[in-house]
Amino acid sequence: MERGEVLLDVRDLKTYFFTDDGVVKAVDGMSFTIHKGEVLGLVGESGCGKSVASMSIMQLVDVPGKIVGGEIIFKGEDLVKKTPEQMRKIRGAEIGMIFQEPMTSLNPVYTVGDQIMEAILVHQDVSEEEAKKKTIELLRLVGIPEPERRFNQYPHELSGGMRQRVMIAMAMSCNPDLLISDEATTALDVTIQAQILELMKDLQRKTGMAILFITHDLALVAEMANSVAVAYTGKIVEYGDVYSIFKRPRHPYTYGLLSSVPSLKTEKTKTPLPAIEGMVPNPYRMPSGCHFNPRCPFATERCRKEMPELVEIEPGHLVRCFHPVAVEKEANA
Amino acid sequence: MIPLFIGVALVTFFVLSLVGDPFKEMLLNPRIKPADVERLRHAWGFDRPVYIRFFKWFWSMITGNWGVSIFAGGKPVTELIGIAIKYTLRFSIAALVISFVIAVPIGIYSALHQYTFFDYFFTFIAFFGMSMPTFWFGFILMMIFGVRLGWLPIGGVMTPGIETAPFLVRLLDQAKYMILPVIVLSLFSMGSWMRYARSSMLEVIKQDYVRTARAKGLPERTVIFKHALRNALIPIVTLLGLSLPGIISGATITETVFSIPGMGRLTVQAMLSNDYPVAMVCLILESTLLIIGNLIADLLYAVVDPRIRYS
Amino acid sequence: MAVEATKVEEVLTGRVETYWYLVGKRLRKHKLAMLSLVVLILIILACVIGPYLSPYHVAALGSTEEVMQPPSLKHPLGTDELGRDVLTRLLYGGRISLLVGFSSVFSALIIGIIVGAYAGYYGGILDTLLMRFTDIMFSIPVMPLLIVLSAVIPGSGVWKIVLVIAIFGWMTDARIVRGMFLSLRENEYVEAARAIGVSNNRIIWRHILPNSLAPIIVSATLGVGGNIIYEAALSYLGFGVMPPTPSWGNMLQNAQYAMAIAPWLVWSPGIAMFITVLAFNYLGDGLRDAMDPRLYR
Repeated sequence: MERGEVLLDVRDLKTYFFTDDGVVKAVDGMSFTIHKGEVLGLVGESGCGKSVASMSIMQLVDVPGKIVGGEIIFKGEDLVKKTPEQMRKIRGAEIGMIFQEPMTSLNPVYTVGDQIMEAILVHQDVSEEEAKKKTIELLRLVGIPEPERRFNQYPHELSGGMRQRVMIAMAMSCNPDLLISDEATTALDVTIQAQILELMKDLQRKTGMAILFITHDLALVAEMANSVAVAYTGKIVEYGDVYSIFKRPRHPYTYGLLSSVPSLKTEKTKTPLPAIEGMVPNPYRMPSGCHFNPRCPFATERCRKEMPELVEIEPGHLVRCFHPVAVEKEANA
Repeated sequence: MIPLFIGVALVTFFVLSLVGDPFKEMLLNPRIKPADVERLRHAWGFDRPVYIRFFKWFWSMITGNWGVSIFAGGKPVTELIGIAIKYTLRFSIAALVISFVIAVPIGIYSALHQYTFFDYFFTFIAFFGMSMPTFWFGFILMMIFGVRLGWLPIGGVMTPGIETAPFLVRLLDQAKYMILPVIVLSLFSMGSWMRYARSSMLEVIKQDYVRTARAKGLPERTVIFKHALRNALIPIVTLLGLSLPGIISGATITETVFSIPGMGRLTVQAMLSNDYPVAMVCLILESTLLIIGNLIADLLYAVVDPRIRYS
Repeated sequence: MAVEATKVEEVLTGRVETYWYLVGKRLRKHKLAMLSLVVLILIILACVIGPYLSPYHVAALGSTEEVMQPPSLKHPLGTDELGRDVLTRLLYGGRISLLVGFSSVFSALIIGIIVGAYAGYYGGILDTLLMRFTDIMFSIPVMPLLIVLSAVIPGSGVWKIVLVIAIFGWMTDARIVRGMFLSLRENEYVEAARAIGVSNNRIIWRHILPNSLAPIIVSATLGVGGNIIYEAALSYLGFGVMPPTPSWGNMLQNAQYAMAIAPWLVWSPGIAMFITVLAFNYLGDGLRDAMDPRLYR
């Protein structure tokens, strides 16, 4: 597939949390790239570091967390080296972000219109009237009926789905090049979820912006993403385009994740749904060697001693494993 | 609300009647004839049962006749209360305003700079204020500034004989008398406002919408003052409504320590001698304020929090 | 804003730790609260054991030369107007003040928990009735009635004060408990318990109440401090603990008049009370931080 130029290049990002009980290496050497107009799905279970990674990109990591290493090259410049004021100009204007909880992500004491308008007024040199017009246009664009009326309403007067649309409108108000969606649909009903995803795809087609789509739900990734990065305990363990990942998962973890998604076929064969054994390790007590080894059915001595590197096993498909899986999966998404 | 009123009136009247016969003491005075005491008793209705007295009193209250004091030479209750309230209000409102205006900003600043020296220092000050027995503190201040140093007066509301002086002189004189009692009065509330403001702000800055505001690229000042502060002030403002009743009643001890002829002292004196016309009006006044204070708090809540308005 | 520290702890699924163990752990980190706990234990020990160790009896009157003596080796805190040793009286008075503080809080808690639990659990008419009653009690101005009640109820014992303070102090706890019960009774384990036939009473006391203890404990700790001051205020006005039984409150009352010539009489009970209440406040605050699942470093 033709990929545009590189928009965001995260190189060996390390974000650690220095707590009273020890150091948590939430992001421990993550690297991935997003090209212009591309949708990258960042997948992983809770605690794998994907949210921390997105906050790191936005430079919103707060004590006791700190970015301790790596680079975040956005449009050619390293965000890690930016001053807070420079970063503030980028946030909301060139990178937009939407979060998981629409119920609490909007300020309850200000109207919806006010909150969108303020994003526009802060980054663009326009008059209040123009900002208001633009806001109403945005509300219409994200599929909110009667935008003029909704403009003056408060967040509690809107449903969850509508609030998330408002969040999207807010994030897109300044035509960002990159949209980070951090589990934006997890808290919504399935039908609303589908609508929001449609909306996001639609907007992406229209504006050509890139999306960093963070989720734990593989089905969504299959629907939305062009490329996929699978994260585990702060590192990327597999990376490639969506078709390769789903058809030929190489990392035992990815393979396990895909196998545990029920499909029509599993029902027919009446085999029990395979699940990955064990649990995500305690970050204060990471296993030595490859972090996945206690749960991996293919683990060897080497896996317990050494941490594998990310290796390009096929063109465009990287894996962090000494014994990548070599089975073709039936596409079941 | 009306049943609440009646309930409160009933209970207070009843409890008050437990103090007993207000004229008992008079019997001990050998120069007063028992027959005269009987006459007084009859005149005030103390020879009738409690509930009859209550109805008679209630009726006269409703019809606007608030009665006269049994002991203060037949002075109308309204006059007595009018004088006392003037003083109490002066001190209490000053204390409320001062403590609010000083404590809330400090509390908010503490929240924004948690775990710094400033925070620990003012937390200590707050606890200091809340742990200090007011009468003891007032006493100590009186001794230090009034007796030892002689800078400030030790009680009362104005220098005797100054009534004829020009307005400004009188004003300054009364201000001098206000300093110590107001400090003592505001001590506790300063402490608790500081803590409330701090914890409210702390809670708000952890909220998701603050994160959203930052993610939009808003300047930190806007994030704090527009988004966070507005929400943090909501519970504080409603608390303001709830401290209204305290304006009348909160100063009893301080008034006693500093010999201020205010509502607190009046109420206690009236109650202890079962001067029920005065006592009841004082108590009802206070209960009314409590109930109104609650109402105002609820109203204020609806005004500042749009979520409440529509339900 | 930041990745909440809670997300970090979510991942810390290591061993199974009970809620109270975690609370204890967090409390231990709060240095001032721990210091307060130590101070309080010392104070309590001193007040309980102290009078036994003192060479003076608490009511022993001294000879005329011994009256109003400033602090010396013989009397570390001086003597009062009747020649009694101040230190001994202070410790003994501490017993009384602490006793009043703890028992009034305890009694208020009992009333408050019963009212709040039944109101919150059953809801409906019982709730409305109980809450109306609570509202009335709330609307009655406390200080004046406190004074009247203590003047009117016969007897001058410590228990009268405890009762009087408790009568006016249970309402806040009732509201807290009711609030907790209103939300906790919606939990599934309550439904489950009912489904297997557990009686309502058992559900209230064995199942829901233990889970609502956290705010009650905080309120109680802070309440002891507050009630010690209440008692002192009452004694100061002449309605609390009556002499010759010392309490920190009436010691202050006695000392007023002698302030100019015997300042030590005013400083010792005041400072003792201040430190004790301060310690309760810090401890209560520390407990509140430790028990709140959201607020911590």
